[in-house]
Amino acid sequence: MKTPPRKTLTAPIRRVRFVWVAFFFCVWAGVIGARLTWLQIWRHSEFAERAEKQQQRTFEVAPRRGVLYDRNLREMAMTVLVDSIYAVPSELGDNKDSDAQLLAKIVHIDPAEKFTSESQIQGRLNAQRNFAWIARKVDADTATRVRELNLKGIYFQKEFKRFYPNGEEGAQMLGYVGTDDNGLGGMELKFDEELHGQPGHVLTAIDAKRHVMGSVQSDPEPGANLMLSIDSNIQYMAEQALDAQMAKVKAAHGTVVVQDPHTGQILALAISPRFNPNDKRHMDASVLTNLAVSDVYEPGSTFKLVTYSAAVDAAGVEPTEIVDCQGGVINLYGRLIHDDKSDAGMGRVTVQKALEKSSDVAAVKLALKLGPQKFYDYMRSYGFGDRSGIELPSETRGLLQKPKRWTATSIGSLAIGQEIAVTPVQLVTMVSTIANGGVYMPPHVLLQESDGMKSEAKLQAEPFRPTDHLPAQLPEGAHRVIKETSAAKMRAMMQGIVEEGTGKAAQLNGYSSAGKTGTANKVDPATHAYSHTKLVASFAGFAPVNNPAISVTVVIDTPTVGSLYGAAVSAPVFHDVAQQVLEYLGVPHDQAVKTPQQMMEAAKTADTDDTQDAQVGDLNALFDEVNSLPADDPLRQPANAAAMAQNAQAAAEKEAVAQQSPAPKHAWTNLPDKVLAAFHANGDTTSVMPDANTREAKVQPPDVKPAVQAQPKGSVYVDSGKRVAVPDFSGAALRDVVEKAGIAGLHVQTVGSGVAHEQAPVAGTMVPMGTEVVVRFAR
Amino acid sequence: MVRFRDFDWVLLGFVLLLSVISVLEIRSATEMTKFHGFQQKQMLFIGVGIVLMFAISFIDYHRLLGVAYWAYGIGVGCLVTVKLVGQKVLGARRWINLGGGVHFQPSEWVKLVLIIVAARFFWEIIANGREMSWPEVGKSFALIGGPMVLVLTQPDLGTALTYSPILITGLFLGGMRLRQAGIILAGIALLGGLAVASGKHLKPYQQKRIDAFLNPDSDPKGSGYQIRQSLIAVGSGGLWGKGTSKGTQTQGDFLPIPYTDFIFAAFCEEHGFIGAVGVLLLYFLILVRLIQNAQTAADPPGTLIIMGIMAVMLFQIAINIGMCVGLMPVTGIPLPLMSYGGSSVLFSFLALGIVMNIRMRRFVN
Repeated sequence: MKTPPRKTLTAPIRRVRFVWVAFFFCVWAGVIGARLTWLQIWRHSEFAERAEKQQQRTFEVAPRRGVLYDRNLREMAMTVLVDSIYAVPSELGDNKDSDAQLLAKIVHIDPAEKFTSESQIQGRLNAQRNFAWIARKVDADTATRVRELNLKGIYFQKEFKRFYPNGEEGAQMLGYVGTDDNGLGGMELKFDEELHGQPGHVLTAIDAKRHVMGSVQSDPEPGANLMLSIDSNIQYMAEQALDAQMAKVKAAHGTVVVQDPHTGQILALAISPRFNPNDKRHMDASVLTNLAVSDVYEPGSTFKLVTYSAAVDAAGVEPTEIVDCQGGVINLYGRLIHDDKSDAGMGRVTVQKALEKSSDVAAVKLALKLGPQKFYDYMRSYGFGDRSGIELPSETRGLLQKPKRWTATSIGSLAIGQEIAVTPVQLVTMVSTIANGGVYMPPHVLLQESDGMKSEAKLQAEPFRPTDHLPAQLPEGAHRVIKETSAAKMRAMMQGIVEEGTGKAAQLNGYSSAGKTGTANKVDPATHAYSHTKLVASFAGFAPVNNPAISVTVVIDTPTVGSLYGAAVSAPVFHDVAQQVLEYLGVPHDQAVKTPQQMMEAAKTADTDDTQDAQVGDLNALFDEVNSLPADDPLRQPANAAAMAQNAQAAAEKEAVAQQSPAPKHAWTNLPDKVLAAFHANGDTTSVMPDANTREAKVQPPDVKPAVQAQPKGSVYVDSGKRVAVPDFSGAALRDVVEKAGIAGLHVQTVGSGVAHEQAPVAGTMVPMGTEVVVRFAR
Repeated sequence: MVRFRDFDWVLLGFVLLLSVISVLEIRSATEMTKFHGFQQKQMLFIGVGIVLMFAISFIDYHRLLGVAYWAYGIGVGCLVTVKLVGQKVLGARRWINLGGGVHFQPSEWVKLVLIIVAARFFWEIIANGREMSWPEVGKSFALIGGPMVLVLTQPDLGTALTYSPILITGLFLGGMRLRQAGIILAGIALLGGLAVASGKHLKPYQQKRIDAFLNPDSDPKGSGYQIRQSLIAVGSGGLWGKGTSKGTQTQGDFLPIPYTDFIFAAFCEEHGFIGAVGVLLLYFLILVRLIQNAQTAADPPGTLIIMGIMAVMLFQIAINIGMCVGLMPVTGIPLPLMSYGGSSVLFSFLALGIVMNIRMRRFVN
């Protein structure tokens, strides 16, 4: 049988309708395909993100913030683990309110802290969440007390907390951190990225019912540890000395910067007043500024160091050159610049004398000699008008105009430290430049950095050891400013300032020192004129002179009690800091150590115990002349042998009474016997110096004991009744010398002609009234 | 003669390939859940389905057509029974508990009965050799609409909707004039419009599903949740997918019932666009093969049966996949040959058995 054609089988059903079905089918397949393309390819990333968002929870694991060390690897800022307390409210049941009350009693220590108040804890417990902080980062005692409550549903979690073991020490420099450990000031801010480290993450996969399906953890990377160039002992000394003076003079604020002149490293950066970085909530916003780099002031006379050194270096000015101070007034394009000093009215004096007495007129004249551009170049070379690049945040350039923007009298103002604003760090760096032989060493406060995780390199303690030379390879930014010889001349002149001039309060015991005082009038914002009551008293110096170990600047803003001048306000701080620091560093004495009594003398008047070889040489030369004086000259009078013997015996007895161990080399023993004999010949050495002239000296311990007992190692100072200090005649004309000597009650023996050049005994020596002083005059 | 050589092995091959994919995806989707091991049950269903497929292929479909109205009566009886004594699960009476953990869902079987009944009904019209009359249209509506209303009131909208393609295909192939179709469509549109306007004919959950479909993000945690999660699953799968057992939407229980209604979404997530297109292609091949078999059937009822089966499967695939990709509202219609479920699997294989049945008898003398 023949099979009928297939299509006839379906003949009753129209074929076209199959095509329709197929067509519908294809359309549907196309739509689905397009939709899948849209969802899975076009919008894939969006959906992938949405999937991730609901399926994964990421928890950040805080990294441990790096440590800030001082150069001896003592922690200055560190991160410790402390307890934070939290509650799982559902486990508290109906006790939420009573628990909140109970907990608040313990954790609500600081009334200003709203977070731990009872109502806020209560609010968090009732917030329908499964987690509620009770208190963050509490101290151990609080945590223990909460633990002892043994409350159900209360848990503890360790959290990092920034801790400053030294409290306020170096607060502005170190800075502080916010609640989430981000640096908000000082080094903490400047090196926030390095210190912070990389947070770890816990990536948790969760299902629709919030069950954890698995987690991947990446460990946090702790932040880098930084080592500062600060020595926390020196920092402490500087802060103590500054604070003491601040309390005395009741100033607005003060800054002390101690620097290693040979490397530019900052050893101490003390600011007063300070704040306690451990106590974020009670910070006074006004004390957060790091005045040493962020605040500028007109330096005043300390800036004359720049003027003088530039003149010495570039204009060939010699310290011994004579400059006419014109009686203390100079007319500069119609503007009169006065020497606003007690010793105004100087005439023709040596450059050295002019600097010692801080003559404005001489400074202006030297600046004029340099010319604006040269003077400006020196200022820039010293680092003024630009950021030093020190590793501290918000450093300011200070203010220094280019010469083309100067007015006609600007050069005069700049010469005496006006029309310029500097930071204490710029100032100390300038002083260091002179101290180290003329090379600008950029200041640094960061010494080493170590990446806790990435490298094995550990920080190595680098205790400060004073050197006497610059590093063989000068660091970036270092450059020569003045010639080595110019620097040496400046150092000698600056020593003169301390020994003969305005900086006597900066004299040290056993160390030579050099520096310059400065008193700048603040510009009164109300009147835009210089205020006569608001002053900035500063001192910038270094010690010891011939091989400086440290440079120190002291800036005290607006002292209100007592003398407001740099010589009286800031120089003593220099003394306190430098004295302590040099002894702490074990710097060998370059001068004889004085007894407290001698120090009292020194405090009262100028110190004669300078035993520098050069001066001894001068004295020898001088006394050659004395020896050639007529036979009836008092200085030539042969000493009474009997009296000498008697005196010697008396001295020996005194020493025996004091039961001294062999006294250290007395300052005077350095002097030639001949000189000693000359002094003894003229002095009555049989009685102990009366205490009448004693006045409170900073160096004295508060409970003043008789000198003999107080200073067992000192030798006994034997002296007689009425004694006077030999005035400083140098630079004075004959008439002035005679007049000064007359006032002091001394006789004068003159040698040569011109202005006073050398004298014997040297200025400040205590001699009996009526003693004849030999003064040599020279042109 | 009935010979196995005439069996559609190609179609069976496509179906078994899809079944393997189904079993693997069910395994992956239930791995982390308490439904772990469902793939074994699914394999069992498939095994039973294959046996039933062969069994039914030996019974001449003309005999099935002969008992169609009897079967129809029993089917309707079962639906009524379910309404009266059925087990209430999730607010709907769909199953009859036969004891021993076996649940019987009559609505799936009724679907098969309806396909055969409709084939017989429309065949008779075709046999008359004239165009469809309005009374005949009305009768066909009653024939399919009756069980549909019973299922709809269980309530099971999804299954009830799967009955509609049987009617539509029957009318379409049975010789309905296009003018009639137009009038019917207009009437349905009018009724639908009135229903929506009165707003009382949809149950709240149904209304919510439609709202969620129209705007899935309006209530992300509520009614829009399923669509949203399905879209995220499909979209995040990307081109290549996340890999077997690595679909986070599926494994993390974000995607609802990823082994039944949303199995396509789960598959899309784990096997990406490539996998999805592959599955679509398999469905395409299967359906084309069905149409081909319908065209080669020995007589109109054979054609009508296969086309009914094809229509039901196409409808379910279209609705389910449309739902998974956010083109259709959530209706609870399983994906044939993919979704887990005994009733669904057995229906599919029985339907295929009937297709084989017809194919083997295409060379009728």
